[in-house]
Amino acid sequence: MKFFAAAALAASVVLFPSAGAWARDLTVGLSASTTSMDPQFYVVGPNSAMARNIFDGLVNQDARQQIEPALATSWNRVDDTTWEFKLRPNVKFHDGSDFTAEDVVASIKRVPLAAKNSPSAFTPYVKAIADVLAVDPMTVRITTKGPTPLLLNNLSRIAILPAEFGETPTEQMNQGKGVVGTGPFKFVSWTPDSVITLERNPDYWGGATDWDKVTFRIFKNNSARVAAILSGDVDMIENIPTADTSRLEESNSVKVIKATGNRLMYLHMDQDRETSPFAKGEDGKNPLQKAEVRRALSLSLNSDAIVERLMDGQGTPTGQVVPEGYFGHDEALATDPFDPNKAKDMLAQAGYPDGFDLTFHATNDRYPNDSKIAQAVGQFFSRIGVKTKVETLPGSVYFSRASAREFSFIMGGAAVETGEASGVLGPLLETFGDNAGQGNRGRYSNAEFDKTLEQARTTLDDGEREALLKKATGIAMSDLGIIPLFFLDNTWAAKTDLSFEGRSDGYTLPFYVKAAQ
Amino acid sequence: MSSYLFSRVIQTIVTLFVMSLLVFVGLYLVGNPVDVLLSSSATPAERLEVIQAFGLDRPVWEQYFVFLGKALTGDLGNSFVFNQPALDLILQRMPATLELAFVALVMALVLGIPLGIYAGLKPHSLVSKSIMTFSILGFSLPTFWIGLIMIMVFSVQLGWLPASGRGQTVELLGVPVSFLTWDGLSHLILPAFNLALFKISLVIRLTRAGVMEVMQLDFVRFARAKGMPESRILRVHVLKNTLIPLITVIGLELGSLIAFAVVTETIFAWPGMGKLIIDSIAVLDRPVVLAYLMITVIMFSVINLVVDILYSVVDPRVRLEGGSR
Repeated sequence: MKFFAAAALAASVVLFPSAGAWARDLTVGLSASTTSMDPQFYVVGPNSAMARNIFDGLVNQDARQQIEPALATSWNRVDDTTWEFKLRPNVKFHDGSDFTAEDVVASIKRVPLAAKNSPSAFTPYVKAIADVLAVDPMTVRITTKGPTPLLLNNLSRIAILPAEFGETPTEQMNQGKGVVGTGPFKFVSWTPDSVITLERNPDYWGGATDWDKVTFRIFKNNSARVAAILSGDVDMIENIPTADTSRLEESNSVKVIKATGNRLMYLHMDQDRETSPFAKGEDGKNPLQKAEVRRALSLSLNSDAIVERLMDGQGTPTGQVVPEGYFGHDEALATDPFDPNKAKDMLAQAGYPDGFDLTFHATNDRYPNDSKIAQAVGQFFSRIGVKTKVETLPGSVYFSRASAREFSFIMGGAAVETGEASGVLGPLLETFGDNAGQGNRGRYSNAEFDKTLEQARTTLDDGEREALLKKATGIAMSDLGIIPLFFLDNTWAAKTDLSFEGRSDGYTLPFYVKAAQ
Repeated sequence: MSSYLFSRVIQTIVTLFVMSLLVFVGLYLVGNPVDVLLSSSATPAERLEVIQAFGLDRPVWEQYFVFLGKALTGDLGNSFVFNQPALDLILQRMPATLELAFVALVMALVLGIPLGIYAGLKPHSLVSKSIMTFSILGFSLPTFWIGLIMIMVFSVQLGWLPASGRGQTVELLGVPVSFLTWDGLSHLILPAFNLALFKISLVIRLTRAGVMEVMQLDFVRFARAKGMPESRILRVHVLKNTLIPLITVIGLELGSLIAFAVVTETIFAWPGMGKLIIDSIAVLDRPVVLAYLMITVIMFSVINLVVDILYSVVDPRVRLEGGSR
């Protein structure tokens, strides 16, 4: 194998004669493509991750999605709706201009402009902001429409660009104009769906990176991505397909990095309809309305086995909505054990000794191994007597039908973008309404839960707010508004001389990749 | 000839029209792109905004006519996720796919025809039998699998060739191509061979059958009786007659090489149009899917036309006429 490695090395030197400082460049294989160079255009993982390489927010999210200072070094709340941010001095943009309060104002005001034609805009993150004011060049005052404890989380999503590009539309940014930030890397070039190149920002306020030049290449096909790291075409890849994990772990030239991810895989059940299209007891009624039935289903599942066998260990079973280390995670909340006998008893007590008919719908191309997971879940249900049929569909068909509530029992995956519990509790479990519970496809509804969550949303004190979020999680989990399965792990493979700690948001950020000296 | 060309253009326009209608309605039925694109926490107001921006709030026939009207002016709409004109996105990637397809085609002809002739001339030799076995494998093994095996052997184990991407490109008449640099060429070999494999087998079999058939015909015997050298018989009489069916098939196959290089492009991370279309279907990016299929239709029509013209050049008996044939 050593000979081959040497041959590969020799070949690469011959093939890339221009790359003089070979060891100081990094090539990364990404699994999804960045669709725009405008960091404020489209809220989607690959775009946000790429933006983090070039831009900073006032605050950033760390590897566990908790808030850390970035372009703002400190902040304090003047009153319930007024926040004052002290900016980091002596920061320069990539074009050499100084970073000041005016840039912050212009960047936040640019968000609605960048939302034009966006499939999913950044406007929700600035919705609560009433006004942004540059008090002096190093101080920004933000007033909110009401108490907004998540202001920092929201601001961590907004990239700061120079004020002179405050009116630059997305189209021009896609052509490379105005892709100017304060981040660790400068933008060099972008070929959509293919290659992105960045170069080192030697003046980065967080310390210059190890890499002169970083090339991101897009490998959507799993096998192609794995082949690229094995052949040495790239130094690092993200999202290892589960089936290849052990193979990469055994390799001498590559190491595997794992981190618990922020994407929760969960089951949603129809809970508000007397009769449901795909869940019927002998009386024709919807059994999923009964909490005992939901608990029985939850007890019948062996999430450990699913993670171990189907996911090759790439997951963390859970009984709540955010992973450990997240704001609102409750250590005291127990995960349902695997207990099919008790599940059967509970089902009988609920009036279904012989089970009921259920068709379970899931995607087959949206999450890793989703159709396999769905089939395993179906088998666990069958084991306690629920006559389960599993139907899997492509995401393009599934999501429209799931939103139209054509299904009774579905599997979904929700990413905790905000880094705290309300980011999942709100969309998935709050009572469905015009401005709430939009992802609540089971229509779970509990007045006390809603009240607690709403209270948390307006509580500025972190300690109190976390207690409220834990309480809300506790209510939803005792009702089983959703059945949580596990968090997907984020994975990377890198050459053995590289180190990277892994991130819960799954972003591949070369700034944090270090080479052994 | 000109009336023939004219009728072919009309045919193409009708095909384009029917195709656009079918695809539009088909995509409409599959699902609503907003459900795929928008995060689940979006409020109905935000949702409505996106729906209106994409024009999805209008009835399907109205959406179609808007599309058609714009298409006539050359605007096939903006991609939902890239927010760039769909046509530009596709045209940007087209040179990569065309290069891959043409190199694969050249490989198929350069390797396929000589091997086919040999197998046709000496059908019972061991070499011919090996050639035919190879062609059966080329036919029956899935491209996907072969591509991966090739990567594993030549890139991972031997380290001879890069596993993915397009490598260094240079501009040739304003179009980026990779076959002019060693780096680009080394990136091109594996994917092009992978794509060509099926076609090589096809060409071998067609050529062999053609040669065997023509060798039996009277004019070959007559030429031999006249004492004409074997090489000339082969070159002038056998090859030319074998080429006629070959041109038809290869012409059609070129279209499919270009339009359906998807699998090879995916495995080798080749930055062509095929990769784009798969992603666009997954997120229901309608303008891109539509534009791609429109271009495919045009391409097929053009290739067919070229094949017909070539046909008349090789075989003087064939004449091109307007109207139905």
